[in-house]
Amino acid sequence: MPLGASTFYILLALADRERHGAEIASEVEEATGGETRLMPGALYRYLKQMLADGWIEEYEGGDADARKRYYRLTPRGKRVAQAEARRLDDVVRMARSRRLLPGT
Amino acid sequence: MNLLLRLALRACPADFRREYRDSIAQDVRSRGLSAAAAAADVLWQGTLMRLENFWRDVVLGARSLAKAPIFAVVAIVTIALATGVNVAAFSILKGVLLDPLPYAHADRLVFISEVRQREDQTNIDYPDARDMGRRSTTLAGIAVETSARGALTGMGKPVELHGWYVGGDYFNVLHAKPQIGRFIAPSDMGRRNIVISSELWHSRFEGSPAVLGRRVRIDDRLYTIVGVAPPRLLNPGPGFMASADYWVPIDPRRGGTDWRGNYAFWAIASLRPGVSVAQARADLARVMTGLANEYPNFDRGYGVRVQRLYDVLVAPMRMLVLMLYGAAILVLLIAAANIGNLLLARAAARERDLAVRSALGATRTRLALALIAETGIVSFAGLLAGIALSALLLHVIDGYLATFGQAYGMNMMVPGWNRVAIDLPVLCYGIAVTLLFTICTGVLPAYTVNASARAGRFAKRARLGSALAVCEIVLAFAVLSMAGLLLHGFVKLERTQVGFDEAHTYAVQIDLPASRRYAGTDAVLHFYARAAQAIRALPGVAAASEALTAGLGSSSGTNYSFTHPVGENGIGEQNNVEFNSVSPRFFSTLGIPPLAGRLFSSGDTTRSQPVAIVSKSFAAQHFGGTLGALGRFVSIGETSSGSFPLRRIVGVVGDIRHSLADAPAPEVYVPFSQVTFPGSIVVRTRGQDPHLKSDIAGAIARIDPLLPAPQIMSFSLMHSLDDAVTRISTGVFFGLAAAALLLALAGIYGVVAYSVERRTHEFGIRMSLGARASGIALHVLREAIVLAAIGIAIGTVLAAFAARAMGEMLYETSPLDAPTYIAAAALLIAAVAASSLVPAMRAMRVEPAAALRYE
Repeated sequence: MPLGASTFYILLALADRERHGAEIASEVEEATGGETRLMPGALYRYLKQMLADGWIEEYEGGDADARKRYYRLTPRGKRVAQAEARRLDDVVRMARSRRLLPGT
Repeated sequence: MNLLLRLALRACPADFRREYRDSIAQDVRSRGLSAAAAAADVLWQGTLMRLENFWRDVVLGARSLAKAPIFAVVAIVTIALATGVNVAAFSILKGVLLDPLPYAHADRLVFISEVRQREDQTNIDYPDARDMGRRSTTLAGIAVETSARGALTGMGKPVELHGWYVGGDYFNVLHAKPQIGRFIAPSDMGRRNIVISSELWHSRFEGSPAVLGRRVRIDDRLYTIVGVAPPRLLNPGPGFMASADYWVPIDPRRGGTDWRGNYAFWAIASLRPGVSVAQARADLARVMTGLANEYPNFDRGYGVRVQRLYDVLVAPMRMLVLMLYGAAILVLLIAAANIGNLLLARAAARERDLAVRSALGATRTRLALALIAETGIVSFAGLLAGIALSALLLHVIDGYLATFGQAYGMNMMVPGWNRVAIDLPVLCYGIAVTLLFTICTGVLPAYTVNASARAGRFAKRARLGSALAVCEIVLAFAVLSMAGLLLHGFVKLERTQVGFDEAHTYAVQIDLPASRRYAGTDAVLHFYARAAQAIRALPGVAAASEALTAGLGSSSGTNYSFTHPVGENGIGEQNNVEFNSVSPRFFSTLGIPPLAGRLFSSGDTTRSQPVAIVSKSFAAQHFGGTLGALGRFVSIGETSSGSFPLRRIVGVVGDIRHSLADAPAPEVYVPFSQVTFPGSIVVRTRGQDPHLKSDIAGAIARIDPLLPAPQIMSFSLMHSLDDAVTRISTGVFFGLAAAALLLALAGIYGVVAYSVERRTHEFGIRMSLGARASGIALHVLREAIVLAAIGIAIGTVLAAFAARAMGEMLYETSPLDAPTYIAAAALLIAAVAASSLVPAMRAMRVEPAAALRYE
């Protein structure tokens, strides 16, 4: 089942390392070349939902800013992200084979 | 934090707000976002979250409802019943009473009739109407109408059409505009021009504009079509409206238009702008006085009555419709009490679940919303089912009314009924009712969620439940009594003797076209004699006889005035009387008993002495008794050219009723052979004959194939049609009473069952102290009956008030008719006892040991 775009971007942003809220937002903005801009309301709404779904977990940042909340992927979240990535990969492959995209 | 942002955060659910307020604020600062954009985003996201929560509650509600199907079904059925009944009742209220008349400037339309003291006449004669129109200063126009019927021939199979003879400014008075062509004008009087209805235009003339100027043959005369009426133009009559197929000018040769005293017409007028009804009354009274002075023989002693058209049309229905609506509201209240009880019980069942959610941090609002979501699902389903039910109810009532209306040969209908439909305003009413319902009954249990001590809560709930049950009994008793009173009156009406033997008798109405074939009285006489003979020859027919009009529901339409001479040649006073022209076998065919003198015979012809037979009440009224009438003289009718011959009274017969509601009327009969008009044949059969109608139609067709099929109706059917309105309203009230009773019983059952469950512990103690199981059961029953008795006592007062308001709808029944109330009370108590039986028996089966342990 396809994930919402913003949800997937957030999972991607957390794929390599844990981040805190604002970081995630700027990461997503950068990765999409400025197209997807996660406003704070939307961001935390998605984060709350993903927390409830068990795809990410939250912990207090031990270092500089004790108030900042850090998020990281759970194993489940990682699986979900991988599944989506694989699905997108299949789609790209199909597009390539039908000459919609260049390359093989 | 920025004010905008703070406000926007209020849109978010409380838990989200608490959790992420600071993070969001920080985010905005560190990213340097504009406060306005951030606030807009938060506002939007907050709304989305609340909607998600609501949807989740709805899904949860649906799931928990599915786990308690009985509750869901009972609740939905209750709401459906209450909503359905109310939507139907409101639809009728709106269409009949509230909607304005379907004419432009309807508030200026008045109905004018000539009345004598103590009479309730609605008619008028043509010359007086014409003179009133000419001489009044307050009327913008006056229109005269009388019903018409004719056979449309020459266009395929002959078909019977209903129409109107109109005179004066008919279409202008109604402010109607023709679809194409023009309307009948006063200058058309006597000409053979015709306006056809829009429906006829489409069904027979394909809606083509080329119809103007075409000739049609109606009633064997050629008319030229000069116009087409607007769609659905309805004609007003006293207490009803009628649709029509065509309109023709009044024909002076047939209509008796120069005949003062021939009250064959209805008059409608339009007031001049700015004129009040009171002014018109004064003005027309003045005109009438003038007419009475000019024509003392006809108009002396008559006054003129001017009423708003709305009052004449709708007034007869007003009380009935209001009562129906009132009863529907009562059913709604009972249902509300039931739903309230149901939801209380439901809240108790979900108590643990709600307590857990509360402990997990759900606010009171969230919990209330959760319950309301559940109630909402039930209400919505109930609303949909209710609307379907109301459509069904309206359809059924419509069917009954249609039969009733068409039987009178005028396509009559209850005024405004054509607007009774489930349209947008009615739907909004239904939605509003359901919403109110839901909120009132759903909020109640939501706020008992956080009540205090458990025992106290139970007791509070039990008391509330009992109070609600008593209220339901009160209302149910009121509706039951009203239905009972109506039934009592209806039974009396049904049993009313009509004065002749209705079993196996039929009236066959055959209208002859006014063509050359039937121009002279001899031809008409000959035709009817042949028709009667042919019908007599049919197997299964015991007797057949010619008559001008036939019994119930059809008086001669016109009240003929007769003079009652003092002495043989003196001119006496004028009176109105029922009139019929019959052949000798008429009385034996219908079973009207001869009381004195003789009946008509074949010796009574146009060449022999004019004779008459009168009814018993006529003889009593004018000649002091049955025997006193024999040998005296009456004269029927007067025209401006002179009076009809004096007739010798040769016999007296029993009275018959022409309408169930009226007393037996004085009536004068003349021989069909001496006064011949096209009319009907009354038939008596030996037994049930399923082929009778087709046999008769065949016999007539063999005599003259160009005639359309005759209208054949059984007298017993006419009898039931005459009281159709009473019948329908009694039936509807019974339906409402049944619904009310059912709901009240469900309510009692719920309350008693709940009480039994709550008191299991108490019963256990009692039984262990020696109480017998049957004693416990009786105790439970007795409590239920006490509730019922209280409800009935209060309900009697309410019912008495309601019944008094219904007064005029009750046929010869007092609003305080004791047997009815007692019967209703007995029925209710028996029903309550029956519905408490199951919980009572359950109480009996309580095991003391287990009960003592249960807390």
